[in-house]
Amino acid sequence: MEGKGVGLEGKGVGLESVERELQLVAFRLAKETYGIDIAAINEIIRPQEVTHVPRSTEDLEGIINLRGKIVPIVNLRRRLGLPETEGEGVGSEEVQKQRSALASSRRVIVVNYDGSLVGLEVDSVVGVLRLSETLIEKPAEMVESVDSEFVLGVGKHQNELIILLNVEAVLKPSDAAERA
Amino acid sequence: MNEEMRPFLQVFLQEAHEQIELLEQDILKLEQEPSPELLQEIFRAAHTLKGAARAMGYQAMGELTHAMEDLFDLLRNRQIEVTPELVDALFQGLDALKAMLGDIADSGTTQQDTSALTAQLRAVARCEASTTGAAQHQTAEVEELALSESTMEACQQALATGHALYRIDVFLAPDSMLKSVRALMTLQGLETVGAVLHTQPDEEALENERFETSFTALVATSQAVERLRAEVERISEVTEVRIVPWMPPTSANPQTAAEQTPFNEEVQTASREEPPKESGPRTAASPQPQTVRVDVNRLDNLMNLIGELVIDRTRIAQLCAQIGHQLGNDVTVEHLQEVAVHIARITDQLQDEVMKARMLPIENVFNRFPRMMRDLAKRLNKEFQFEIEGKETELDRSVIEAIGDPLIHMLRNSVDHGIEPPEERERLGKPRSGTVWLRARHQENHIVIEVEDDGRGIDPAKMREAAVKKGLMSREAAHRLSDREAINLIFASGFSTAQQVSDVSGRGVGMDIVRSNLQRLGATIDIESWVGKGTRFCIRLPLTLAIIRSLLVRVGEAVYAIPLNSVAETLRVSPQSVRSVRRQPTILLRGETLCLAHLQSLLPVRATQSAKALAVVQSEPMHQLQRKEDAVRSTVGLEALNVVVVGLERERIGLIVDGFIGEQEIVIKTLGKFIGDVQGVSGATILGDGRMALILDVEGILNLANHQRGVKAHAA
Repeated sequence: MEGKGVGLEGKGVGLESVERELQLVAFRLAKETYGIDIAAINEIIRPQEVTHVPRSTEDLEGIINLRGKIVPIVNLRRRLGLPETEGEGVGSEEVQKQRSALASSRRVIVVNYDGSLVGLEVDSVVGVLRLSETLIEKPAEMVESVDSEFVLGVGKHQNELIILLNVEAVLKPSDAAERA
Repeated sequence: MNEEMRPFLQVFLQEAHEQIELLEQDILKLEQEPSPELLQEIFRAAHTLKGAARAMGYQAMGELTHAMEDLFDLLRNRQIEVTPELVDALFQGLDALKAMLGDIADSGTTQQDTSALTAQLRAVARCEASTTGAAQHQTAEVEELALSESTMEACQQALATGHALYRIDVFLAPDSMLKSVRALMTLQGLETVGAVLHTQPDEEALENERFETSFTALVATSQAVERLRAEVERISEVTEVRIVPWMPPTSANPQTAAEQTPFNEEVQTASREEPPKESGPRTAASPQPQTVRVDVNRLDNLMNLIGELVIDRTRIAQLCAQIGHQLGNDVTVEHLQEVAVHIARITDQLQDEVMKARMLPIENVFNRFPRMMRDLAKRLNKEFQFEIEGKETELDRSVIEAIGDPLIHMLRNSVDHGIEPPEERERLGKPRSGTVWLRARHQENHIVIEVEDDGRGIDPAKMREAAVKKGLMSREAAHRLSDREAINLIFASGFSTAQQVSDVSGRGVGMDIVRSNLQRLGATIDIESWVGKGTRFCIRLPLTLAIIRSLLVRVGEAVYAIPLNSVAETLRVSPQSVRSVRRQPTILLRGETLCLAHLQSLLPVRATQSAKALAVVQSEPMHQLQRKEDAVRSTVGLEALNVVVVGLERERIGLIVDGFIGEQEIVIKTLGKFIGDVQGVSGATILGDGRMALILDVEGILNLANHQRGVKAHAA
């Protein structure tokens, strides 16, 4: 039941049967817990004021200035097709209101993607976890909320399910238009 | 390849490319003006290349270069002449070398089979040499000595001081094993009697036995000629010695008259070449400018760092001003401000220097062209001169890389579609040989490049016809186009009036791609044409791509930066003067109509941000303006409108904004791969206060506005 090459960017996939561990950053989004391989993560920052880019896709919140670099900020909820902030109406207006309300917990996870940086908005960051590979299963029917191509697997950690995100797939631009 | 040489691969490739480029340019010049200095340079380049190729272990390349080197050697010894066939063969050799370098760059080795070419070159060398070789041994005319200016001076001086000049031709036994030794011994012997002013071939060639069986020396001596003869005949294996008194030719370097050849002539009107470098074995090497090879990436990094400094410099200035307000006349504040000013000045200078370091003369790009034009002339049977002006004009490296292709395209177009075949030109009463000009010059903050020809010109009538035929527009619309607009149709995609699509200038998508690529660089292109007389393309390029002067404007909460070279002017327009033409707000500006558009409607900002913006811009219809006929909703407002007139060469629009902030130098940062292309936005910049401003892409804005206009017109 070992997962095949689960998001091990940068780590060589060996053929030994030694139990390997995955180190990932876990975060909460729309009441679920997700994880991203730590190798893909550049840093985690507090949300900043975002400059909107007109005529861009719906899930692009805008851009920020990160120490002189321009980093696009993606609304991960929209990107993954998750429900908008629960209870209220849709629209970025709401997201902004929510953000100011929960300012303390919201974070932006800046990941490496195709040679540049991209920021992903999340509700809160849980922390860094180590998951043994044996505890990771293929998604199959387990995950309904998110498109299966984004999911590398599902891991169990302290009785919680962590959905392992395939960042590459999530950020690939080809489907952006459809999702918008 | 020689594996242990792998670390040197990059350097080898770079230097090999340089040598080949040099050879290409020089061989071209050779066709016009074969001078000894040129031949020396060519020979040296080939020699270096051969050595490098062999050291790296590329045998075939070494062989090919060796064959070419032999040819060059024969050339500089005047044993063969420069003929078009020879030049063609040499170019083939160069092309093969380039192909090999390409292979090596890709995979480290090359499998090209150049043995045929090498053999051919050798054959050319042998057969040409033998035909002229026969002439050599005739007593009648001896070949001329090719002397440098300094040698000439030495000759004059010798004569002036009572010496006699003799030309000594020495022939060695064909089977001599020690030719170089004999030659050098001969020279040494001559030196005891007089001064050897010149040898042919030069000393280096003599040392390396790069000569057949004879060589020539020019000697100045005050002693009897018999002594000279004695010295030479002393040397064994010398079969024949011919000594004649010699006088320097009276005229200076004979200028080759400008010939009308099927190919080209490079005319330097802007600047003359540097005086020919000294040649000959006895003169010291000319002083080389001190240079250092720098990796382009380093320069780019420097540029980025400077960019950051520029941003911080502005911030410091702002913070200083703030502190000044808060603390008033504090001595410390004054000191701080002094330092800030100094930093600003130094940063400016740094920026200047780094930009200059990245500048290259445009000749780096222009140099490819003469060869290409020559080939085109042959292939298309056209006759023309190709004149280049201003090739020392300097451009930022990034810009240079980008304009090569557009220029190639335009030059090809000129030759293919512009210049008429020679017979047609004669029939039209034009000079049989046309001209294509390529000019570059500085103009304020820009570089202007012109491609001009004296060919057919572009006929507006034909363009209109073609536009209708291609379904680009209706006949009425085409009829309404002015001549200028009709000519500009050449930039429309899908447009080509060429009868056949030749692979030379490609399909009709050419000029529109050229223009959009240029505009992506912030460059503009303009065209002028006169039927039957010619066409001129004019490209205006910014000096550098990274840092530009811009006009900052405000729309709601957002700040936009508009490249200053796209800003025609700023206006305050009273709403009364706004008319509606086909549902589009327009004003009359100095007699011409100018369409207006709200920047905010072209680049809609997200709901929250725009809320305030809307409140400011879209004021409800007010009293005095109700009287206006067709007051379009977007232009109704209380106060005067702030309008920025932006545009490319011919197309303009007035953008309505909330306010002007001012001019500022900004560092262009791209939006990045992830976001990709956004119409109307070419990038972003970080302002002094840390906020971000989007940089407008004027071409995109114009397209958006046109689209909006089209939509509105449809709805009408």
